[in-house]
Amino acid sequence: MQPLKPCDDSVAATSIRLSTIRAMTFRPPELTAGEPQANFAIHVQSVDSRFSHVIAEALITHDKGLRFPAQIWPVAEELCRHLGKTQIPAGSVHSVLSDALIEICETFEQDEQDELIRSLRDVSTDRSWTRLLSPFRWALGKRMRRRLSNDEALHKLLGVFAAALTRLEGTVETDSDDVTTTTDVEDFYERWIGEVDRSVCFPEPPLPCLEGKPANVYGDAAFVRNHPKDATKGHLVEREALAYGLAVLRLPNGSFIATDRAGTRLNFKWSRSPASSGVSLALCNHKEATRARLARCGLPVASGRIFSSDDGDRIAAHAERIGYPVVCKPAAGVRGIGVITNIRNRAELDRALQLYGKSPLGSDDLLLETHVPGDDYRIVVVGDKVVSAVCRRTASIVGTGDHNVADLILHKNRLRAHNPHLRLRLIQFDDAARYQLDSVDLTLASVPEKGQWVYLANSNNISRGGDSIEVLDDLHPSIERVAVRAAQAIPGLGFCGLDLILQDHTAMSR
Amino acid sequence: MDGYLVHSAVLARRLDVLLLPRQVLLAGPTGDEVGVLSFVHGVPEASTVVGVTYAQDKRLRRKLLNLAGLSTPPGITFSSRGEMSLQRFISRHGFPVVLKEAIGENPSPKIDKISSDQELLSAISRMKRRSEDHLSPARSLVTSAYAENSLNVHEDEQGHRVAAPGARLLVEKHVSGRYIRCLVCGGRFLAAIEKTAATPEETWMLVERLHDDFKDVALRATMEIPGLAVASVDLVVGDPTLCREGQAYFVVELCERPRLESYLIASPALAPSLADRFLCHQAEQSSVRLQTPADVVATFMRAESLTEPQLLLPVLRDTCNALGIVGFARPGDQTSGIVEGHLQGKPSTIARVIEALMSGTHFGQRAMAIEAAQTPLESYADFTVA
Repeated sequence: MQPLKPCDDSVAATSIRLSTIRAMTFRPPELTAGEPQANFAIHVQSVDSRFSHVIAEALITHDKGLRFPAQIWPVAEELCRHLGKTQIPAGSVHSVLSDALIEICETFEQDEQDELIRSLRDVSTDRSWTRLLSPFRWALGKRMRRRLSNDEALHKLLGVFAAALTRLEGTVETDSDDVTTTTDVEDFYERWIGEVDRSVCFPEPPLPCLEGKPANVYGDAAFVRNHPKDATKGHLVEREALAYGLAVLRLPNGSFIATDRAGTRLNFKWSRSPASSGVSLALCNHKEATRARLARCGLPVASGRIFSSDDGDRIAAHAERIGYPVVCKPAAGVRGIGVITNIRNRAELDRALQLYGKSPLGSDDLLLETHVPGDDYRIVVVGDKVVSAVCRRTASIVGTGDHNVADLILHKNRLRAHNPHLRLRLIQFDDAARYQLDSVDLTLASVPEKGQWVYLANSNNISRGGDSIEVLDDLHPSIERVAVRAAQAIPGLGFCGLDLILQDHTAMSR
Repeated sequence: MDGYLVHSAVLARRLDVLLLPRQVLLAGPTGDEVGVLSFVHGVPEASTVVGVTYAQDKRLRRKLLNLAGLSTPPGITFSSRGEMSLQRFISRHGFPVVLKEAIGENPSPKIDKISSDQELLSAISRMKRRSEDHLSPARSLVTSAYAENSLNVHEDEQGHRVAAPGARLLVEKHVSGRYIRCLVCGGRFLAAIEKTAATPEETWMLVERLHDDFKDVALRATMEIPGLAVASVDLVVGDPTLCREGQAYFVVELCERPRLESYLIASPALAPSLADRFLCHQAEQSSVRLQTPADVVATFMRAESLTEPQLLLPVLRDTCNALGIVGFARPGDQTSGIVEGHLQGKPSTIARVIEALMSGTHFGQRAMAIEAAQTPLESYADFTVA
């Protein structure tokens, strides 16, 4: 970890070169008396100025409420991009900003139109798109005109940039009525990280990759990105139903019914399908029920036991009996809520139980089981075939040596937002993330070393911001056989996602 | 009650049983795989996960029934953001109305006879509260084991845990008439009962004469939700003995669980026989041959994950002796919290003891798995513990 640069009060800089600049908007603030009010902030960082960090915050609104005017956000983005590569001579903050704005406005509209239209063309070669592009182009132009005519908000936006930069060069010591500045980076991110709506950072952190391979990008994202929460699963199945020539009746809440020519009806909701029974879901939803059943069928399961969450002494005694490290998870949890892994001793267990108590399922039964080291895999079985296998990695960021933890979280979340399924499954800065950061002595404002992996959740679930890495082609056939046996051990289960801990997915299962 | 009655029927047919948390029951003939038959809360495996999910989603359910031409009370689902549509509904249909959760248990928990804006607001506020049952799905005796989770909660100004603003509620116009509950299994109409009095405790009586039109409504309503092997359909009808023509009727509930407790009130003999019908239906689906029901059975029982096996034994002895169960029990491996033994008696009383051990309602501690394998009858004088 690199320490924050100390302030140097002795000199005002002759020019400023920004090492990093970020802009972010926040969800509409509560109007609570006495508290700072803001929905927009920029955080500038320089290696050669009086302060190493300055943050400027302001409330920028239009006449319809406290929400940041969306139409001027691209201006903020472009200003950051522009300033991130500009040397700012002392005393010329305002003229640099003014020049930047003129340059941005001249190129903005055409660039954005071209890029959006190109991206739409990329996803389909269908001729019908040509017809759709005309109204789209018109609508885009209208939006741009509205954006740049919002003078008052734009003026205030520039004021925030100016305040941050002048404070950074040391020429202004006091805040204006509209803009508040601070150099307390840790406090700022602690206050706002959970409220960030849009964000941008220049220079941008690199795109995520694994062993040199970039993350997958899906060509049809533009078609599905506006689906509501959880609708993607139903949508993907619905596409297949249509491809098979079935008639489809679309219903609310990610549901649809597919009908064949003989009138046979198949209903779906999210990933719930007619291939499985209600009993099988009930069995799989309870971790101890699943464990007990799989163990009886001779499948390898971790040793564990269910406890009431307020039964701390018995839980501790059982942990001693089965030996640390242990895992604690809700008996009927979902999406990794309340899961805490790799608890290594009594002190960590006490802390984990406190954390568990604060989770949404904190009053429900918990399962304490042996922590099995290895990677976490989700294997999807349909009937007697493995159709997908992914390695799930805990929500994490990788240090660049330049960006702080908050930058890296926000950047990764911005990328996740492009995937409709991940859009609401972002890395969360919650108690679990704090627990993980504390354990490696980092804060949101810390700059992790280049290449340093920083974990931000207690479980590997995608819904907690985790990553998935496709490994189906490399999966050892013996593991496929175990997965199919496990699926078949549950009566009435036509398909399932099976979680396995494996040391090496390419090696034979023992 | 559904789970208990099906459990009794399974034991009476001398099947081996594995009971898992939240009334998951796997069964099979001795020597065969336990799991060839399975139930949850008495709902057979033939009911698909999406069938039970659709039944619990009242908005979906109403839509499908209406598309099939079946009548439901005028109604609307709304979230916190949908006040305008609620106001429009009230100004069009007026009071009284009934408020229900849009997604959740069946028959729906409801607040009825709402007759003013003030009462409606208060009812909405109460209906949005999230109880311990919502937030403790593993130990809840109310929430179905296959229910969609409702963990998206926050605290209101009074500190109550309430559903997130996007959670939907259903308002339906209150409809008048006789309240008939019909039971359907495997595409067959099985029975009908009628709610007879508006007392705090539900009272039900058998319906001897239900017009075929309404049997047909119950069957069609069940068929409209693909994947329901069993359903309890509640109708409000002017006169159930007359045909549909010329009178209004409404499908007010469609429940994926049989809710045999109401049939038990109407006829103590009917409910167990209905549970046996579910078992027979599932056995037919799974190609399992059943034995004729026995009055007395003997089982080797093994309960796991008890917190204090030693403390359980005397309570188990007293309970079994009080219920006329003979046999014995002894502690097993303490680390795994095991108690095992022989239980011999009426299938219904053995099922009662085992269900109580799983739910913790009588014994103060819960087992997480109980096996009950059929054994030959023995000569025991009473129930003893080692």
